[in-house]
Amino acid sequence: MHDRRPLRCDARTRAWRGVAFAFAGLCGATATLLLASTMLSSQTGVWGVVCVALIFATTLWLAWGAAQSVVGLWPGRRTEARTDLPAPTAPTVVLVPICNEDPTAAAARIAAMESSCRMAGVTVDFAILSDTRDPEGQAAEQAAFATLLEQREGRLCVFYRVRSSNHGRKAGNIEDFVRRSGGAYDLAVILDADSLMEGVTIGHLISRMQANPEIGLLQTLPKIIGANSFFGRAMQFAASFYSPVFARGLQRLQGSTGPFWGHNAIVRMRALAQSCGLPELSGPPPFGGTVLSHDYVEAALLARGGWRVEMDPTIEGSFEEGPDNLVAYARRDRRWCQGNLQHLRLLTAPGLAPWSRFVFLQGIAAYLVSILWAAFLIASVVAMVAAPAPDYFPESYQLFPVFPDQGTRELIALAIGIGGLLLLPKLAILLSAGISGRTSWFGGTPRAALSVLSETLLSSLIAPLMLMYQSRAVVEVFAGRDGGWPVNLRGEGRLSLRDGWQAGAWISTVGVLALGTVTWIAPALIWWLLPVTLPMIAAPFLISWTSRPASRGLFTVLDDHTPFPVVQAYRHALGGSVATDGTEGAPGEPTLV
Amino acid sequence: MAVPMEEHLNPVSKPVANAAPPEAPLEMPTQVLERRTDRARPPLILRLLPRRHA
Repeated sequence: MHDRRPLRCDARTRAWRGVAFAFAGLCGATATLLLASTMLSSQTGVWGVVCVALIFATTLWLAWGAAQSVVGLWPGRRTEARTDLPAPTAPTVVLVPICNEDPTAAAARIAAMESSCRMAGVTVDFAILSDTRDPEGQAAEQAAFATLLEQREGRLCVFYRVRSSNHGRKAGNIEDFVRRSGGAYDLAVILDADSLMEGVTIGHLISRMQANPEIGLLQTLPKIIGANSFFGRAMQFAASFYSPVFARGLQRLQGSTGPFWGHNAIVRMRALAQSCGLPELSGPPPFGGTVLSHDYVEAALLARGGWRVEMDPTIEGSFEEGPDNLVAYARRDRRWCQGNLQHLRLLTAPGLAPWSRFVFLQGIAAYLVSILWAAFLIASVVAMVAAPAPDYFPESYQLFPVFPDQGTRELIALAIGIGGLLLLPKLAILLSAGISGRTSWFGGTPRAALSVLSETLLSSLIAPLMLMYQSRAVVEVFAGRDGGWPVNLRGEGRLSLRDGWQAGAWISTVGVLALGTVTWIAPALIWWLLPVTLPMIAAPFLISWTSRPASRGLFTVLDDHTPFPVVQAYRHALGGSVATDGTEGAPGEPTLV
Repeated sequence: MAVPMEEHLNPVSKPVANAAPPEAPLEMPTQVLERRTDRARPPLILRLLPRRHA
């Protein structure tokens, strides 16, 4: 065993955390005071108190998200190409865990990366770690990877194996490799089945790990590529346009304790082996059994073991794909919800850094907050209904009526404040990108502004739907229902209105019932609730409509006009069958033979 | 050419397997995530929930 001690965070990280906590606390306190004054004047009693408590918790959460962008927007030291890094020579393996994936696409990605590494002069091995159980699926993988696995002069090694048991799912799959072959490598680049990484980037990651032996894991910020639908392209744009700022904020707040997102990262094999053997949690799923959101736990364990876990959002050449419709997004979110809520069990795990516990708490809060918003809406209606009728003649002998202060101004200020917390970070990022010239990657400033506006409208429309999906997921998990680890249906694409109805009819029903109930018992609140209930009623249409293909004119990203070399190579490879010797297609490009 | 990567390879993968990486086992101790008391006693929030019948 080793004698490393948990790392202490530095003064700079503490200062950033102080700024973020102060910002969030101030916003939460302001929202609380505004609503409390309204509730006091309306004499809403205990329901008013419930509303005030809920607005404090929900605003605090929103403000914490906004604080990340505030911290991220602060200009940092200009990153210049590092010339002091050693040549990437450490023995490294690129791990690609797969389970019921499209083997042709997976093979094309590996072919593209293998070719990219060779062109960059980076020598690594690739290991495809299959957890596919279905014999037909395994046979399809064998066929798709056959050419890749052949040894040819000058080609990098590619390995493929199928586990005899799926124990521990993805984390268990990687653990199995570490236990059997980890001693052959110093470093491992961990990818997802839909990940892509430039050879130059892999080389840079290796050099960074060689240069600093204290780093246990270095996470990149993958860009989403390959989206076609309106929903997918909006997510892709958001990930490219906003995420670098949010990620820089996260990097400053996390310091050396994370994050790890499970893929598109490089890890020191020794650190992984020493610190990240995950146990099965006692009891049955969803709270017991295999650790689902293993990446957060692994980051916490590496930090506990004294290894630095860093993220660098400035590293380019790292990519992944995202869900192309709301249903696929909600399905993935269900798994993340269960995984994050499972961390309730780990909040008191021994020896963790306080910030690692706080990261668990954030992951839990990210899902509980949907329930809190729903509870706030319900409590607001009940509070208004339960409030006594206004007394216009409080004195016995009074000539003119006294109109009680209904606190409308405070409520409007509160609504504007909450809207501002959602909108201002996006506008600030747009402004900053316009000044720095970064908008040129997104089709120029006017087009980037139009994309920000459209993305904001879309996210406002689908927010009530996500609230419903997340609330259902939380209820299901607490009711003991295990969602398992559903197969990723990548690129399932367009959904018909019938599909939308199947996935969203229950949300429409809840929306109609909510609107009907409010119209009946508190008609004054209808206007306040329409932004929530109307999208809910339109859920099937929204689910279907947002899955339609979108034009390239909107949500433009760099990949639309200047595709990255490895992405281009992947698309080229996908057009044929796998051979990376350049005998087919453009010179140096992988082809599928 | 047809050397399996590992002993436990699924048989169907053998004909296409690349040369195996060196057998290089690495010890990976299972970490302790739950305190002993946690194992006997779930967190408060879980204890407050109604129990499910088998």
